[in-house]
Amino acid sequence: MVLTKMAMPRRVFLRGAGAVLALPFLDAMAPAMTAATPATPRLGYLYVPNGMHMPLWKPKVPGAGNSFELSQILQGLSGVKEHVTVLGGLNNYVAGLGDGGGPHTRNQSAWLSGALAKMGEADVSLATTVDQYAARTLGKDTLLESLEICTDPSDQVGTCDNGYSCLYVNTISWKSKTVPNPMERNPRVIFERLFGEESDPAARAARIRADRSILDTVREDLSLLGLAIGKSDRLRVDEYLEAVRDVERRIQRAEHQSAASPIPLIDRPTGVPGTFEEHVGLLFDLIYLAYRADLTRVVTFSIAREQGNKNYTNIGVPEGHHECSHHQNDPHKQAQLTKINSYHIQILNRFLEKMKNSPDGDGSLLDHVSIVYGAGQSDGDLHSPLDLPTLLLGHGGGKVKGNRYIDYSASAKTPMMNLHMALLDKAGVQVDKIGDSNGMLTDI
Amino acid sequence: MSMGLRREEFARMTGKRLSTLVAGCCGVFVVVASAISPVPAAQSAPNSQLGVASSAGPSPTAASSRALVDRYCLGCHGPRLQQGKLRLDTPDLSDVGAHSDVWEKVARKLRGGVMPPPGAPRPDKATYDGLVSWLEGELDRSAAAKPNPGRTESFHRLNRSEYRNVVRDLFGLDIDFTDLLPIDDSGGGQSSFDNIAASLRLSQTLMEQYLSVALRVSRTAVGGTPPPAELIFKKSPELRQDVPLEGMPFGTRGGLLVNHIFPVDGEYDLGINVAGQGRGQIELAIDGERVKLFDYAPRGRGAAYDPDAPPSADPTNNLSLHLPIKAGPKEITVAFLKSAATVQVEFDRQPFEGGRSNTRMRGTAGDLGGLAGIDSLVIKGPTHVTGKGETPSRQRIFVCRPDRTAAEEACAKTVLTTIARRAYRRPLADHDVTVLMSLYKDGRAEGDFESGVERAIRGILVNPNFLFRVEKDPANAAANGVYRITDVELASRLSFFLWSSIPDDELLGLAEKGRLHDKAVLDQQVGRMLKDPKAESLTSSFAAQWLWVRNLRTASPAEATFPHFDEGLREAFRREMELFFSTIVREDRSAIDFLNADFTFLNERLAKHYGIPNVFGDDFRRVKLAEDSPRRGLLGKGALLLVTSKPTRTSPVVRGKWILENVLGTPPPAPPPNVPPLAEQKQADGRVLTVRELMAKHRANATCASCHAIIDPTGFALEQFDGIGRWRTVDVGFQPIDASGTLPDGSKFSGINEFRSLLLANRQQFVRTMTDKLTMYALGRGTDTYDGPAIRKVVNDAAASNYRFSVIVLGIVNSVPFQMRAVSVPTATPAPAQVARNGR
Repeated sequence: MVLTKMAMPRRVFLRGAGAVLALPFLDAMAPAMTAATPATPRLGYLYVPNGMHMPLWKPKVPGAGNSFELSQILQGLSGVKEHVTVLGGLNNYVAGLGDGGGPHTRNQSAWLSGALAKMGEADVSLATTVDQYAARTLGKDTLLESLEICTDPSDQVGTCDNGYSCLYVNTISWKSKTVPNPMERNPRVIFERLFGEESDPAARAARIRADRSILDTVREDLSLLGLAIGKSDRLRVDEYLEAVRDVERRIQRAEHQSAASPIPLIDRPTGVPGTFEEHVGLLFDLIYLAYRADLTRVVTFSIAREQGNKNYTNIGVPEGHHECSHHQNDPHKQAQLTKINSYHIQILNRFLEKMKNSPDGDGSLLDHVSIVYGAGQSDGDLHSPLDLPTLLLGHGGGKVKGNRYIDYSASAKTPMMNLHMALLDKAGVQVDKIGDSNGMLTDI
Repeated sequence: MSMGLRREEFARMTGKRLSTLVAGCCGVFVVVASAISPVPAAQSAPNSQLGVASSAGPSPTAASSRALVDRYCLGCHGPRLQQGKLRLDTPDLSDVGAHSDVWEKVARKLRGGVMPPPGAPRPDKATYDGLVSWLEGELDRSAAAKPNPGRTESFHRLNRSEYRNVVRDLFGLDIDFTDLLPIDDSGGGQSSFDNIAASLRLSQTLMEQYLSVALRVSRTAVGGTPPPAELIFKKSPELRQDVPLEGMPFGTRGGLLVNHIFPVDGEYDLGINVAGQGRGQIELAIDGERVKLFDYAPRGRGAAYDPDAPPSADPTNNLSLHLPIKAGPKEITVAFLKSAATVQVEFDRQPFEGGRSNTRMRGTAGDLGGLAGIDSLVIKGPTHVTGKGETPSRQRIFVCRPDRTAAEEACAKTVLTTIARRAYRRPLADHDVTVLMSLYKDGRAEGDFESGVERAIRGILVNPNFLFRVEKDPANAAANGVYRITDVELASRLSFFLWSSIPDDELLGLAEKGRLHDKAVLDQQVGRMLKDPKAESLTSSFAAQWLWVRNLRTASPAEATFPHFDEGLREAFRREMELFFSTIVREDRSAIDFLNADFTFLNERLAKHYGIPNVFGDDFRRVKLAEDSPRRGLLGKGALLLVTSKPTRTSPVVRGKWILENVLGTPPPAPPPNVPPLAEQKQADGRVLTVRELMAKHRANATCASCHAIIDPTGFALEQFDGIGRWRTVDVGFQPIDASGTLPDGSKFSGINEFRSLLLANRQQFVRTMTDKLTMYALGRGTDTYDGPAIRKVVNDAAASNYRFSVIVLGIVNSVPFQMRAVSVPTATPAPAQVARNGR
């Protein structure tokens, strides 16, 4: 196991399997970075797999303010309750339309797309996901148009969901119908995308210059290959050319940003921490930093992948997560699932508290974001993509009321995508329709 | 016993629901026979073992085959039911080639013995075999007249392990890219290799990572002076610290071994972090020579070990050393000397580390029972550079050195064209040279000759001609034509198949001279390449995926159920499987050895687990297996038995599926949507259901029964091995194990050894399945029905050698799909997606 520490050492962290980026450093560097103006809309999408134990997830009755009480699983959010909107009765009907096995794949991939994954492995096809619609507008001026991260490695063999390409579970973000965005799990790599590999400004500038001239040759040779190869493979070449241009655009922005606000010399993460909690915590810290420094305004985070069977022995759940989600009304399994659901909420809460305590213009960072947290299925035992467990966090720059539980009744047949339509609208992103959306939520 | 549906279940499911239920299950659905077939289902339980073994009788013809198909298949696959969306009444049998996609699938199902389904009537074995042989013969005849090589993707990106190998072969640098490049997506479904071209895309993120990696590699290769850095090499949790480890100096225990490339001649700091209590002596050695022996005594004596406290390179212990080191790759080992006192605290196994982490670790300092262990090695520097040094990579790169400024450009051109030809795996065009020299000049302008070379190497490492294996259609190719690929393209296909890397100079040279397609030359090269150590990639890439060894890392047996499982066992499982596979390749043994070899590789830990006596120590050695040893072949290997189990129990479903897919070549279809999982509750009387009873529930449910009637009974063959591969005669509830079952063709067995005998009786089927997988890996694309004739030819041709591994490889290399390519993607006759998927 190789851990690389690039920066000159101040002290050596050796907790867990990876050296963990200590928080005081991150906090210390935050003021040095340009912060977004408060009005800037920022969006986040946080995915958890295998559904929830719904009876303890849902608050008892709809209500707002004092008449809104957090459910047992959501107790961990009591400190930020004012920023929490619990949404019930939202549905992803398309995920239920599939044929054959693979409900996990369909549910996860529909979560941000409202579309049905195409079976087969060669020609994957889904739809542009909500985060990428947002990125097209909100990402214009930031270093990264969007940030896609995850915790699970994607090297399982032979176990991808029946007949579906592994791509569908390895990411929840799709740039277009046929181009999935890979998700990165290594905090070091994410850090370097955000802050660059060189700490020294002169070295950074030289690096950028060299990368640009090298990318010129890459683009040129790729175009030549495209010409030599003929029509049938043109689409693929165009896709790759677009990827290269995206890199060029990012480098260009990095150049501007570098000139505007030099990155302070900081310690950086060295690898993937040894425990899930440290790993997720560190990734949340990086999301916080990215928002804080306005390096990106759209983040998609797969906290664990669908059908994942992680065991959480540290909270007394030696059984696998997926295993527990198939509870078959066994009270023990339901209790174990509840523990996992609550544990995820506790980790989420630390991130929200940090956002809440981070002053940003006329309020806190949490006041200015809209973050969707939830799963692609409700009862994991049934793989149901209906009545999805969904939280909306933050006040969206004053456009989201918060501190309430709204239950869209089953009879109203409200598509999940209507929530995303509403959030994009509030963020100033114009989209006609996402997946099976038929309007937008108006009362959040 | 008929596995068919009971009449009322069938009745309950007719009407609208039937079609939806059947759709998911490709016609393995059992239909009550009386209405359709002249023979009652219950009487006809087929048994190929008992079939009339007669080769006499009239040879099959189109007409006689049609009669058989009409009689035995149309009940389900006729105009009325069209199960699995398949009709066999319409495709003409007098012109099999015209419907080769359908008949290839039929032949495959028949070879696997899965059709007609259990309980339905079958012809006698001779007639059955006669039909499938006739079908195959017709298919092969039509394929020979009109070969269809399929189309590999034009762009085939290097995957991460290939990238690593290529950097090794280009520059003599072995760099671990695990942390630097993302893992590659495997083709989904049943192909499951990470070298499938269609799944290897290029995204923005990946391009950025390639840029970043190119900088690191070029810098390390050329030996540019990096800024001083600190690298921490942390002990992997799997490394025990209380026992001697393989590869470590004699007389040490635990420790860690680091292969590090020192970028320049200079001064460096090496520091050691220790975790745990207990005094001892620590040896630091470079390339096997002791550099220093440290005396270690912990500070706070008696303090409890706290895994959360950051252990530090404690200056009071003086566990660091400042010394000059020459540039280049070095092997550094750090370990405690084994003292008499430490012997008594060695245990056979150590408990899991509980509580702290979701991935249970073992052998970490907290478990050392009073011993201290090595935690990590820190390398800092260079603090003072004394020279660039002569590293192997510099010697390889700088084939010339300019003696004056005026000579620089010519030398740069020589250096760069030498590298780029290998890197692009083809002769260079003028344009390539122009690009390289412009990058050289950019770099030269900012530094010296070497920085110019470094810049151009950086460019090579992200160039699409490097990142992608590119195959082009010839300019004059007809739109629906097929053509032979060029020798240069063939060289790359060959080297990536056998080495997961670029061709070496000999192979590329032969290709450039146009001699590689000469069969004698090609065969000689294949023989040479299989003997090369680089062929180890067949084990680390092909076998690791084919045999699911890569899933070992994440297998998580429940601690309460399997307290005997630990990391040492996990690692032993992996080593055994790797050694087993690579030995068959290296010794060019028969592929049948995968089923029945009379040897395996064990260390003491694994031998104890298997109940095999007289194996002592941590080293693996070859052990002979008795005729009746259940450990013979792949199916007795702990690695496979573990990755096909659930955390708390065996899974006949996963095991059955693995066997159907990888041994019998008849993968079961995907389950229908939203299947409720099996209830695992205890009985009312508190008795825990046996796995077998649990599986019986599959067959009580009509929807499940259609497929599980085939899957589960196959998986029962391995029931004598528990969820971590231990031999057992009773299960957790102390109920006797029943490992009897039925193969899809009706043959009955009880226990692993009888099962293995059945597989051996039908050995060609296993070889065909393995060849199919190996072909998929060789081509980097999923195989399809049109590959059937080519795969059959490989297998038939290898029969005379009793399926020696190299003969199979040669067969694949000389096959139509490996040597040729279609101009357009073959579109089989429009087949329903369902069938296409199951055709694999």
